[in-house]
Amino acid sequence: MENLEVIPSIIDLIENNRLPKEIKAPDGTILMKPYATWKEQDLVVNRKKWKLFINYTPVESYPEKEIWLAKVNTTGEVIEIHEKEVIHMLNYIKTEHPGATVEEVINNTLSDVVRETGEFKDDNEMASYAFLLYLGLAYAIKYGLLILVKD
Amino acid sequence: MDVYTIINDLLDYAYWGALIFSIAAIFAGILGVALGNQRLRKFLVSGTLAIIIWAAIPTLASNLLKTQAPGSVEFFVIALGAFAFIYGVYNFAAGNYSKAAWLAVAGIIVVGVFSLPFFNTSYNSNTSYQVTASVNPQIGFAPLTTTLTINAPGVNSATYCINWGDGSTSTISGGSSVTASHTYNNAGGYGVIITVKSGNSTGETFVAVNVLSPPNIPWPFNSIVEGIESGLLGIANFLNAPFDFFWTVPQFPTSGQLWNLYEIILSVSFGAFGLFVVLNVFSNAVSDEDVGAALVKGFKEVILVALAMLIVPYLYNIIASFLNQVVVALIPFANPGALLLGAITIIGAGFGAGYFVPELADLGAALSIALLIATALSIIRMIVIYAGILLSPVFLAFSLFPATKGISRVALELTMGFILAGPFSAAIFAVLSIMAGQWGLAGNLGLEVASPFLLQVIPDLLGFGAAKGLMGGFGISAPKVRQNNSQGSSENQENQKVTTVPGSIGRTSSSANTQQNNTQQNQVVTVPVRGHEVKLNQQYGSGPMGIIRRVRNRGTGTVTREDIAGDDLGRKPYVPRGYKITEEKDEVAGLVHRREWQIKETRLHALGSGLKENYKAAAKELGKSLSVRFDALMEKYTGVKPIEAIRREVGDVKLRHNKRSSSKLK
Repeated sequence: MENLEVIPSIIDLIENNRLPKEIKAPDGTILMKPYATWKEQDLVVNRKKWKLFINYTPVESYPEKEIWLAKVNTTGEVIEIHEKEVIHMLNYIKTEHPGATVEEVINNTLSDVVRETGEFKDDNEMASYAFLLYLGLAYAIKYGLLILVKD
Repeated sequence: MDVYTIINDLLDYAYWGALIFSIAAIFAGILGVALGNQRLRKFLVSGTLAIIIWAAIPTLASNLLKTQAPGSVEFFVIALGAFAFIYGVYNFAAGNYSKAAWLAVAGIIVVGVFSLPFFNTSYNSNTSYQVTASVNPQIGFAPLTTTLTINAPGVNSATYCINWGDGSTSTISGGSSVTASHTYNNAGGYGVIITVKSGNSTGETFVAVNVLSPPNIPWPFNSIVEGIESGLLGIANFLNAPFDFFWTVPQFPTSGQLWNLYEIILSVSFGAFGLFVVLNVFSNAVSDEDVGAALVKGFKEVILVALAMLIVPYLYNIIASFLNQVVVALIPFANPGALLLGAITIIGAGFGAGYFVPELADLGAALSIALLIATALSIIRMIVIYAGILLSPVFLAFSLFPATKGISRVALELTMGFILAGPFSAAIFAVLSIMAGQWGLAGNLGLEVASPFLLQVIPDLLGFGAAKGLMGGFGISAPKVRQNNSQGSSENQENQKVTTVPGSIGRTSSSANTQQNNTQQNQVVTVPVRGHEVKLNQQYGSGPMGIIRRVRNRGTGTVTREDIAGDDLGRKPYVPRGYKITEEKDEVAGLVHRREWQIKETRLHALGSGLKENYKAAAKELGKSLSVRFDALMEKYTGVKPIEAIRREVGDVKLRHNKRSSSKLK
């Protein structure tokens, strides 16, 4: 039987104080340290250099319930995703720009957020939303849905 | 020159300056739509709203702020203020302090201003009267004698000061209704200002009169023409009445047959609603989810929908009466009957003289179709509004079920769009009417030709845009553009296009040999089974450009087919979607027959592609500006812990996050 891993809603993790101390890529690279400062977030620091490629096949989508299932190509593991921003980012990388840099993915998603929900009220709100996206991306890499290529 | 005159002059300049800025904003918005510029596009809505506010300022200022609005409007505004205040307190509790402060201040101001008459006795002693006035005729040739009828309900005895707008004034005394006559000797647009005074109480209103120059035609034809035109002007005055259809936001009756029907629909919808509640409880009980949290989430929607089902007609009537206040404030500026009469005259002239002047026949025919569309739309508008309110319980029940949520959203947007079209229509009329007065005959003629669109089509579109904006997601925001699905090098990806070949039997397609540079990109799509080759030369380049330039520089290409015997060349060639054949040529080299078709992109396809490309470019621009902003933030925030910031902002972030749409995983 296939393993089933879950990427939970990031907002829920933040609200319930359930974020781990570190989020690592499968090769051991530390991606994010949620409780550290911005300059200690490697995924953010290397956002202009690191590139992303997809490594999944979609299985099922239930957007109304905010549940998506995807199979990791290299391991066969099925991942249950509960975070819609992760889906937006995966779709962008798959359909619009395979090999996009982390920065490009985040900016594109932020631009979608602005177009859908209006301007951020200030820099703090924008940075907070960006942090949410970085965490989502880190989880997608951690569970193998995305392959991180460091140049 | 005293200080009051200076202030009044300054206000006048500010007032007309505001109009110029608003019109400039609309033009900038239109330019933004054409160029795909995200920032400029936003000006379209803000400019239109600014014009509405501009046109409504004089009457709103004198009526609404003196608490002359109907009780329901006052109640609505106070309720809005109270809601803002309570929501502010809620935000304070949730830790969103800046939002809480703004909301609380806004609530206090709104409630404070509108409560002033209740607490301040000196303010309260100066009662304001609701005054209405009408002139008959409102339009005619100079010299024009017109009769003014003033109504001031609740006034027993008052002095009416009338400024006729041509430099003369009259003062008369009377009860709640008085009439006065005046003759205008010169052509022009005149604003008649009526002020009512009774003790400490006052009231004011405004009405417009349009005096036209008499036609300069020799005797005896002048009397014939004047006779006909006087008759037509009479029709113009008569035509003003049905214009209510274009701008009035109708009140929904709370008794009678329509109300009975509403009650039946409401009770049926409540049945479906009850079913939802039962199923919701059941599904939550058997699901693995956290039952408590799911129940709370489900019941929040249920309570909101139940409440909305009960109050929709009443809430709608309050909003309608508020919007009608805005409309009424705008209408005195407008004389739509004259515009419509002009349009009808052109149509009539087209029928009569079309044989001799074909252009006039064309113009008349086009205008009659436009008028029919506008009239049909105005009737549809009324029907949709009534139907929307009547069926609101059904749509609200639909909103609970994921499968029918979309229908309820579309219905709500449609109804809201038509509701908001009313004030937009009145605002456009107000501005046009002022402009028509300034531009003379040529201006009037242009406006007459354009009037069907200005009357209803444009207001409807603006209404839908505003409704979509209110529903979340700005009405004219750029759509998402799907690009190709291949995994290639990132550098070339943004310029790459994919031509879709229909998947018919016996044909396979492949995209190959994609050459590109800054000015030109070629693509070759080969259909190997039949030796079919399609080459597309998209000379317009890869980057965004103006729509007109894009349509001028449409893509070209060639389709070639070779055949040994030449038998197969007669078969219709494959032409990519959005292209048409412009030329065909044959070549024979030995046994090989070769036929080549020149193809060119259609204007419609170029227009659609251009708009898409511009939208895409606008999204990229926004992304770039966010990137610069984020880079600057990262320099500033190096020592900041993001987790602390996001915990402070979690309320707003969650709200924004929940507003985002969900899509399928691709």
